[in-house]
Order: sequence, then structure tokens, then C-alpha cells
Amino acid sequence: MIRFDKVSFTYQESLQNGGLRDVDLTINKGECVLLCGRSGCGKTTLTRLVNGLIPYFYPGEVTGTTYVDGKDIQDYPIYEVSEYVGSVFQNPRSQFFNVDTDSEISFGMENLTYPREKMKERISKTVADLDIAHLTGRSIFELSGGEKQKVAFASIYAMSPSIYLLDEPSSNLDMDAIEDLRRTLELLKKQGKTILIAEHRIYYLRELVDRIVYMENGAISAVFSPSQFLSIPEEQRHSMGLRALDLSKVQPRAFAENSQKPILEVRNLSLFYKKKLVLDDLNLNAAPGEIIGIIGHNGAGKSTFSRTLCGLHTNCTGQILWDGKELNAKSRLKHSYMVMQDVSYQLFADTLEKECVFGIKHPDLDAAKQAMERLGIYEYRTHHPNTLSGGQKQRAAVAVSMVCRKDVLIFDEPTSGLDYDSMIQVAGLFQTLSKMGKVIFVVTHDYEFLAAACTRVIHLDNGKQQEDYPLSYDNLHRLRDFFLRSERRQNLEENGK
Amino acid sequence: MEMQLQTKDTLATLYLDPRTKLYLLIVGNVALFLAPSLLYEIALVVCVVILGILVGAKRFTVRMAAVYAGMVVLHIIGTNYLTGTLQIAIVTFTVFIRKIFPCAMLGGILVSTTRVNEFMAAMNRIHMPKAMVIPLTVMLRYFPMVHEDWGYISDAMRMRDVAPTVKSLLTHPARTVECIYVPMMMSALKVADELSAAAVTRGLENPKPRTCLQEIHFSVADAVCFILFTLFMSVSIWLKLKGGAG
Repeated sequence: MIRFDKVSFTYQESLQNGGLRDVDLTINKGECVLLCGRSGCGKTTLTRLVNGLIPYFYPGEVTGTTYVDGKDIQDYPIYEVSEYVGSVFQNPRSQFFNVDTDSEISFGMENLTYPREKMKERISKTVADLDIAHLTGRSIFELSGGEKQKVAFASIYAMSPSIYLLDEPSSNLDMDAIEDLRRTLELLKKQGKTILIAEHRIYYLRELVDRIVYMENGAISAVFSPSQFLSIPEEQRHSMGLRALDLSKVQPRAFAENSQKPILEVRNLSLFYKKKLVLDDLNLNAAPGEIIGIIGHNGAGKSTFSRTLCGLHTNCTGQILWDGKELNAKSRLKHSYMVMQDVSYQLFADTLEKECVFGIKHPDLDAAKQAMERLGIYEYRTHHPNTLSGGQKQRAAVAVSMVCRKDVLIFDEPTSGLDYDSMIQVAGLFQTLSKMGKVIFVVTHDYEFLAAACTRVIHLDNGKQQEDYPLSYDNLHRLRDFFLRSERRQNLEENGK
Repeated sequence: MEMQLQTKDTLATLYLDPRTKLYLLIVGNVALFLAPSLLYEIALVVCVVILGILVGAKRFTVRMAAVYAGMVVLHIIGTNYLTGTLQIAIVTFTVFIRKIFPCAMLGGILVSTTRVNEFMAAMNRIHMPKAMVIPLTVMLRYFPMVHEDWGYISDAMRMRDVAPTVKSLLTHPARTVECIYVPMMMSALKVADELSAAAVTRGLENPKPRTCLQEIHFSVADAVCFILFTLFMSVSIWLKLKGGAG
């Protein structure tokens, strides 16, 4: 179905890494192939050769030939390719061309000039097959990331291509949405579609993939069957920069007991959004150096809670105390800092150095230097923050918080779309901050990251604090239960039918 | 300001063809700019408000109308009860805002109630070249997203003690604008890039005229709006010319 014949590629823009060297690979009809490897290993590039984005959208030098269905893909304009190859991308927010869901589902068909009757027929079939009746007739601005992803998928599905390309589709999804994605892929596989997925978080593909292609520096360095892959020793897998295929094998790292006295106290905190109660009667204590993971389903109030902690959300009752003194919203803004999922929103200056002291009346330049050194980004001090890598940007935001002497740090999904190495680096960053005595909260759906970085887990759901436990070896099953529950529940439902 | 497209819950009572909307946008703006008197302008704004409510942008229209009414009251107080520099300052300010505001309102109403694919189909009908339609469409698509971006940016600014308030805009105008502009630009660039990739891989550049799920057609409503706004514009121009000559 897809064949790469000695394909090499270099991006024209030198900044883009991830070129290809001599790739030979044949993917059969109906096969599900996973491309994995470190960021920049070329897995995304490989998908772009199949859907024609290379060289049309990303110019560069191609040698060798990519065949789809026996035809050289370069001979066809990209709009003809799109009849056979459907692409789902990483960011649900930016792959929506329309502003309402119905038009979005029909978008591809409209471009391929389907007559209206046929379009309507395909839409009803798509809606039924993908079980998204509740998403029709909605505005995109009221959808969650996972729902947007589903509609984007539906738009492709309606065009009924024989090949599906997915580029890190789970990066911005929570575990329920990942489970839905898994089920959709299962359906496609049953229909005999060919699926090619480039992905870092791979556990959800365990039962689906037929082959796993491991790439390094633009070349294919190994091809595994799932059972071969599962038998790779953990240490070797880590040195390959790969995440786990089987979450039950993931171990928490051992942490020293935190003997510090609690310094942050949350008493009877209830949160409201407009007049609606979001989270009822939250109570917790946190000591300096604690790294607290906040988990919960979509809409459980995790982000409202973090925004309240930062003083950004003020519609709440109850108390938040620091060292016994009550903090109002204004002083919470001074005490705490949130590192956003998309850090670009919080970087304003034109060099990293200036960024660290931006908006401060009498900046402490020594503190800025120290912060940058401590985080390993001092050598980039004259770079524009937006030319830095994702991880460096994150560190830049953390440096800012250190210069501003913030004591409470809140991270929103700091590991979305990160490979194993980068994830471990973020865990290391948390260690540094923990040693400095910061109180760290992290909202995340990343099981492996929770296990690698957190000392404690708070579970919010159904408007309440459900659980609060230290993340020790003995407690890991509770965390796993939470992550695997939705999968199990749905499997049970299926068996019940 | 919340832009919201007509969905199941906010169904419009009046459907206008996107071609009519484009025409109204141009003609309405000309009429507003040339409006010969305050009363005439208010009459025109009332028409825009009725239009906004009928096509389904209720909340947006009502809020904008309230601000406009405030401006008018301020203007009347300014001209009749104030003197000296304060009068000049307030009157110039309100006249300026009063001219821009209804235009923005009309634009907002029309953009927020037009489906992207309807707009593209309409542009196809009037034989606008694709090279122009696509960028226009991406723009149309990006407007409502600014609202989302704004939420994140304003959060980020508040945590850095450079909150985007009226006060900070007056005391540190350059810095405040920069804070909003830089991340907004970065986000826009990224989104535009990803959006284009997603659209291109779904055949957006097919040279054959694209079809449209919704039928677009002219109706009585289009004719009424067409006549009403053309009339307003003609009267504006006529009065202006007459005034200018006499």
C-alpha cells in the first residue's frame, strides 16, 4: 500500500530538524504501523511524504520515491492525494477549518466536490459509525480538545480514505479521549484501513499495532513486532528514548520522606464558575518541596482549581493560607505562578535575559543570572524566547517565576507531546524546584510522568476531592486504577453487549 | 465580547445570504461614515441592532448597543452641559468612537453569523479567485480565536504584574501593547500554519468549484436588507453632497 524506496529528505529551512536518510519501508494494506523515536527522529517527516505536505508545504530536497498504491506520490497534486490519504494532526484546536461542527465534517467532501445528497448520506454514516451524534450542530468554541479531535477525525472519515496518517494524535488529549481514539482506530482496522501513526505516548496502541518502527536520526534503526517490543528490557527502552507500551510495568521512583512542615493550607475551598458550583469543600496541606499531581476527568475543575491557587480565578469561598496567613487573590498572584501548556502565551520580551526581568521595576540581575544558570539555559540568554525549543521555553517561564520569587508553581500539562527523554528532563526540573523548597502542583494526564515525578496525587472528580495519597510503591495501583478504569469500563460494556 | 456561531441553541430567525452580508458590510459602513446627523446615525444603528438580533448574534449585539447608547449619552452631555477643554476632549472622543463602533458592530454581527463554508461558496458564486478567497477565509476563521488567545494572554500578564487594565494602558502603553501583541502574533503564525496544513491535506486547493453542505440562496429577507441599506447609503451620500454644495 505504502512503499518508501531509498527515501532521503532535507528540509529547506535549516532550523527544521528531522530529515530522512535512506528510508526503505513497505506497509501492507490493512496494516497498523507505529513510528516511534525521539523528537526530531524523522517520524513526522515520514508521514508528510505520504500525504504530500512534503515537498509542497514543507519544501526541501527529496531523493528516492514514495509509492502509494503503486503510484509515485510526487506525480499527483496534493488535493488528489487527499482522496486516498487522510491526515489527523496533533493540535485539535488548529485543524478545524470551520467554526461549526457540521460544516467541518463536510469540509473535505466539499473540497472534493461531492454532491449534496451524497454528502448528507456520508455525514449520517460518519456520525453513526463514530458515535458523535451529540457533537453535531455545535460551535467549536464549546468543545473540549478531545471532542474537537473527534470531529476532525470525522471529517477525514467522511471522505473515506484508504490510508490514515496520524501525527501524535494523543498529545493534547486526556485519557478518556485517548480511549475514544483507540476505539476509533480499532474500527478503522476492522474496516481494513491502512494506518500509520507517529507517536510518543504509545500505551493505547498496544492491542492495535502490527509493527513498530523505531527511528533514529532520520533512519529506521529497528522494526519490532509488539511482542518483541514488549520484551525489550526497561533500561534499554529508556536509552532508546521510548515510553512504555505496557503501563503496568511502569514503576514510581523512590522518594525520600518529606519531613518539612506544611506551609500551604487550603481550607474549605469551594469554587464556582458563574453561579455553578465546580468544586466543593476542598481541604489540603502542602509542605515545601512537595510535588503534587492533580488528576481527574475533563471538567472536574482541575484548571479552575489551579487558576484559583494562582489568584486568577476569584469566584470562590473558603481560605488559602501561607505560613498561617490568609492570602487573598491579589497576594496569591504574587506568591504563585502557572506555567501554561502553551508557554508561548507567557513569553513577552525579545531576549531570554530581558524576559527574566520583564515588568519588574528594580530587577535583580544577579538573581536572573542565577536562575538561568540553575536551569541550564544561561547560554541562550541572548536568544529570542520564541526560537527556543519547547522544553527551553518551559524553563524560561520557570526562570521568570524564580526571579519573581514565586513560592507556589503550577504546571498545566507540562509533558504533552514530549518523548521519554524530555519527559525525564521535566521530572528533573521538578526535582530542582523541589530542592529549592517550592510547592509544586502539576495538572496532568500523563501516567508515566506522574510516576516519574510526583510525590503525591490528588484526584478531583464529580465536584469533589476524591483521593489524596502519597505516590509510593504501595499506592501505585490506585493511580493505575484511575487511568485504566475508563478502558476497563468500556471493555466491560462491550462484552455486556 | 463573545463571538458565537449560530448553533442548535442560538438558531437565527433570519437567514441572509453571505453575498448580501458582504454587501451590507460595505454599504452600511459608507452610510455610517457619511451619516449627516446624530439622529440619522441612531436610526441606522437601530436598524443594525434589529438585524443583529434577527440573524442570531443576540448577546453580542445587545452588549455593543449598550456601549453605543452610553457613548451617545456622553456625547449629548458633553455638547450641552460641559465647557472648555473637557468638552472638546469628550466630544472628540465620543465622535470618534461613535463612528467606529457601529461599523465594528456590523462587522462583528456579520462575521460571527457566517459559516466558513457558506462564505466560501458565496465567494465562488461571485467568481472571486481562490487565491483571494482562502486568505479571507483564514482571516474569518481566526477572528473568533482571538477571544481564546486573549484569555490566556491576560492570565499570563496578570501573573507577571503587568495586567492589561486601563491604568496600565495609560501608564505603560508601549509595554502593555507589546505584551498582547507578541504572544498573539506567535499564536496566529502557528495557527495559520497548522490550519493551512490541515486544510490542504483535505483538498482545499482542488481547482474544481467546491460544493457546499448548506444551500445558499437569496430570499425576501435579502431583498429587504438590500433595499433598506442601499436607501440609507443613498440618502447619506445625497445629503452629504447637498450639504457640501450648499
